[in-house]
Amino acid sequence: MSIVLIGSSIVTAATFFLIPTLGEILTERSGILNLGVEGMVISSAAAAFAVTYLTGNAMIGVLAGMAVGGILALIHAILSITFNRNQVVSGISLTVFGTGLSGLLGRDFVGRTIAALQPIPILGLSDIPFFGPVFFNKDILVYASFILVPVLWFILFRTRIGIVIRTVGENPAAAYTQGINVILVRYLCVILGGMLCGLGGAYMTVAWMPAWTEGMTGGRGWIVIALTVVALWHPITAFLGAYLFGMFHVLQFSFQLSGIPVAFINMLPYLSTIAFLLAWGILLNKQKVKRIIGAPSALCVPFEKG
Amino acid sequence: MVTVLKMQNICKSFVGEGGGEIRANDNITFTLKRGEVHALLGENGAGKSTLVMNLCREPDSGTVILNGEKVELHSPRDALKHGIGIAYQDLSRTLVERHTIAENILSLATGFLLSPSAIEEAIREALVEYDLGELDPQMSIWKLSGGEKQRVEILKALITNPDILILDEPTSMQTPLEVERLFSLIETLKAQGKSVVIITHHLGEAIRISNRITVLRGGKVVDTLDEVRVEAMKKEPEKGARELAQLMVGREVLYDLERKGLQEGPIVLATQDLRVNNDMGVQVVNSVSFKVRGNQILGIAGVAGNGQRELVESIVHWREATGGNIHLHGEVITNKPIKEIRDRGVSFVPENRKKALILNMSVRANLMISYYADTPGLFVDREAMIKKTDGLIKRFSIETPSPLAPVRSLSGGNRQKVVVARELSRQPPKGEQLLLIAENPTFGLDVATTQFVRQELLKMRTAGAAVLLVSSDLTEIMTLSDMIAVMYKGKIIGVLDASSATRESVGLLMGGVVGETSNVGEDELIEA
Repeated sequence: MSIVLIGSSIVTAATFFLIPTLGEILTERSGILNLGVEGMVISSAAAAFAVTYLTGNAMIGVLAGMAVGGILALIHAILSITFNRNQVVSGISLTVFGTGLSGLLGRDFVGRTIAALQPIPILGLSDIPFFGPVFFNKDILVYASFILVPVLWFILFRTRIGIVIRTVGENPAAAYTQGINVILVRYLCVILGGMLCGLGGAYMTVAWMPAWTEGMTGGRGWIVIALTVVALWHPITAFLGAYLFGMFHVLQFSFQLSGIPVAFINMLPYLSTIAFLLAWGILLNKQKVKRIIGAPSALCVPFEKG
Repeated sequence: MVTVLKMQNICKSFVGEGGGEIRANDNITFTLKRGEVHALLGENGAGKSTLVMNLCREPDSGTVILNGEKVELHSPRDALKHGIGIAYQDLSRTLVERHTIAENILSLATGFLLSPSAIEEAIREALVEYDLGELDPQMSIWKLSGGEKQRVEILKALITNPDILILDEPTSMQTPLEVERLFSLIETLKAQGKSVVIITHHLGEAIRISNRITVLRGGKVVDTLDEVRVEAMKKEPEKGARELAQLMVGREVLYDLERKGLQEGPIVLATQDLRVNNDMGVQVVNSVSFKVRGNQILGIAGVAGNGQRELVESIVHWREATGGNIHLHGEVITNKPIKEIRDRGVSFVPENRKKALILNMSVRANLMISYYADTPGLFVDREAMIKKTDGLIKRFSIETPSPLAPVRSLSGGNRQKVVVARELSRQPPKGEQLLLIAENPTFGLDVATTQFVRQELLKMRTAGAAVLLVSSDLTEIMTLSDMIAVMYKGKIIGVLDASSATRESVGLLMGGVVGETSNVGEDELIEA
């Protein structure tokens, strides 16, 4: 494989990891853990493919994918926010449910083909050697992921709604006593997060590999959960992490002939997650880590008005 | 004066941990006048906080009348809109540890964009305006002391410019100097025509600062003392405090404990240049050396968060000592296994009761934890354990429906009695004295239990034990100790003989003032 092709594949694979990770960061920053990423991604992948096939318009397919992601996330929101149910159980059920749903949605579309989203070269930038074809001769969803990273960062850290979201995720009672509608903030974050997962799923079937086969995400939704932790709930590190994991993903094909077992390469994302967690634990005193970086303090903690 | 707030026939019930209904507010009527300071007094569980919380949630029944108009306040947002500012008591529910002071004050974040510099500037200005002392707006909350956190909470309430300010135990972690500052701030607010409700445990403070005082007991109003009566109390604060304490408890409170003069025993515990880190890896105990003898209570006074917790935790090895030595009966026990230390006759009553109890297990099991190993072999002598624990429940008059009831279903006072019963009844090896370490043993307890626990500590002293008492309650230190060591910023900055120490001299040392005599803290705080 040429180096440009490898680079280009890495960007494609990374985009698929990046968009849902941004969604999961938004969700978890508000204090809700949604382990249903895999379910949301695969259902929206199926929905996006089906709608694109039926309408012949990929953008409508993408919107359908986002809608399915948002609706599934809403189920999780109702269970975990309104009814204060266990978030882990609800999230895992969502994954199992979503996997089943995808089979149902995609049943009639196995083996069909659609016109994938076409690359749009960006004038001027696409002519840069190597970087041009790798980064700037891509479809619109890849560009969208480039923009989403700084946008999410800006919203979380430079706007009023951002500090409100972070306060809700750290200590919902502290937000509530200052007049914040904790329930509303959490609902919005979970649903928007689900829509981003949907966007990621749509990207897979509408842009990356325009076909539908059952179980085609192959559990990659779980990498998103790991990536959120590795990225320390931060959009910028999520970008770097997604590209690293994207690289592992592409390497598994390149190394197939080199004698390194594919199964080993497949392990890399998970191994590196463990390595990252271990590194953070060793580098800094445990308590200190918790106070400075770590997961949002109220992650998984239901909020009840005191 | 005009009535600004009237809470009429307020009722509010909760489902208690034991499953029963607790009537926290039982038909309470409370009025607040414009430009007055109104203190709410009562024991723990009397319903003080519950009453003011009805200003930001719906009570079960009753009406809230604000400026003559009936209002419904459903949430803190409604309270804010109506000009009610609340500084809450439980800071773990109101401050975000990981965020900076600036990020914690959401009311300053206006508009779409967040401008940290503008917020920080606003905070600096407000700190000067209200004279709340030095606070760095860029400092994260977890780095602050308890007193500083309380000031952030007060600032948060003040900055919304409320007409009615509610302060729920604002002084519990402040030094006498900071309390003075806060009180002059309250005077200023009063002069501006604002109304203040202050909830406190310090009877002396209540008499000093307020115009009227309402005393609650068991969810009901016992009495509202009008301006004339409070004014009379200001002239004789000692007598007033006794009167208030009596109202709170409903009977004469015994302030005087039985305390015999005793001959000092041998040295039981000695530390040498002890150094300990806190959770953050910062050294907060800096070369501390002291001795405790048998038949002696060494009181360690100090504002919470000056290294006391880390100090006692290192002695029982809940926490690693990073330097120096700890000697028990002359032998080094620094960083030895916890069981080994305890088996040599060390008992510990920690402030954090959750660390001393297993809430979901029965009273009996909790009492037995320290004695399982007494029976040799694989099995536990059940009969002996039942006898022993039943005896303890009786002797320490632990109120529990059954020895098998989970500790969770007990009140705070009875939970502490379980810990005290277990720890105080442990036997040291033959011929040696027990070392008892008590960390704020009466924190959050009602008057009767407080007296009980204090009396038990004195009994231990009479029986020959060496007692190390850490307390941020000056009354406790003054009434129990033979020697008083004051801890400030990780150092013992003064050791006083209890017979010659005064509240003033200890209070000054607590604020870090060494070798000066001023009149700060003269107005003494007589605590319930």
